[in-house]
Amino acid sequence: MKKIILLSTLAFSLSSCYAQKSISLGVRRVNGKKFEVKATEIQIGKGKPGVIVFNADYEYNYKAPPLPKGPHPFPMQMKDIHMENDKVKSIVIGVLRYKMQVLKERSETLRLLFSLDQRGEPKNISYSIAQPTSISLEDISKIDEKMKKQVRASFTGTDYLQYNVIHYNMPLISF
Amino acid sequence: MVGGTPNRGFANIEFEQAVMADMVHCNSTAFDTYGTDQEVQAYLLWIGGLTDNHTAFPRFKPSGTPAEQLAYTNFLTTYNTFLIKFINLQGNPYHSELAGLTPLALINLINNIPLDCQ
Repeated sequence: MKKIILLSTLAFSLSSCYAQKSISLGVRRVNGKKFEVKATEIQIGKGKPGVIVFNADYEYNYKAPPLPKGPHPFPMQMKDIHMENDKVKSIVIGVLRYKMQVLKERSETLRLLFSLDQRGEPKNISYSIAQPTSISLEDISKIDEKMKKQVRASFTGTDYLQYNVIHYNMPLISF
Repeated sequence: MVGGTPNRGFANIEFEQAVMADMVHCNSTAFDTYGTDQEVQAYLLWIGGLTDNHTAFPRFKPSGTPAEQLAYTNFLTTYNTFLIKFINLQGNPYHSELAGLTPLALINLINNIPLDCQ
């Protein structure tokens, strides 16, 4: 009987450790970096409200990047953007490993949008998360730091040379 | 045009084709070049929602059940919201000026192709 009570208590405390919460909106500083959390205009997933988390200091959050060099540039095609998707996923899973069971149970998702420069370096990453979530702003901060240090994209063709910012929409990460 | 001033046209071909291409390729070409990061992200969330995260095309049934009619109305409302944003992009040389026009070509196309794009 004692074992059952102990196991029940343990199970309850483990699940409540990573309870789903809503990430509060506004600008917040985490590990020395400023992140902005904004409610999405569009619902995420099955009718759930969501937030977008992004680097508050990125200059093109609310301002369009400089115009392309040519007057009618050909849009970037996904086939010409080569991103290390496996590395991106392994970084996300590595940081969230300690919450993985809860994330899976709740079928949570994470969407990443990369804003890359012509060298393939991520200058900003936007994270879209349905609310409430088990993912915290601290988790996002750790993921963001690793991504910017470790992830690089490459490009083929010459279209990318027209643009100061190249967007890459990472396939949805479903836990 | 039969004499007089030129007809404004009956299609928003630039925006409509961009939405279609972005639904197929999981891309954001409508806002990539001239939009802000926030506009790109909002647009991608809409495209992702329409396509069940790029796994299937939607079906629009304006004469279907009340839920299907609501989904159709919601689609048109959001489509027009993004159309107006597209029209207002600074420096965008492409124009789709007929705000409020129903994107019938897009609707006919996605209602008549396999759901999984195979």
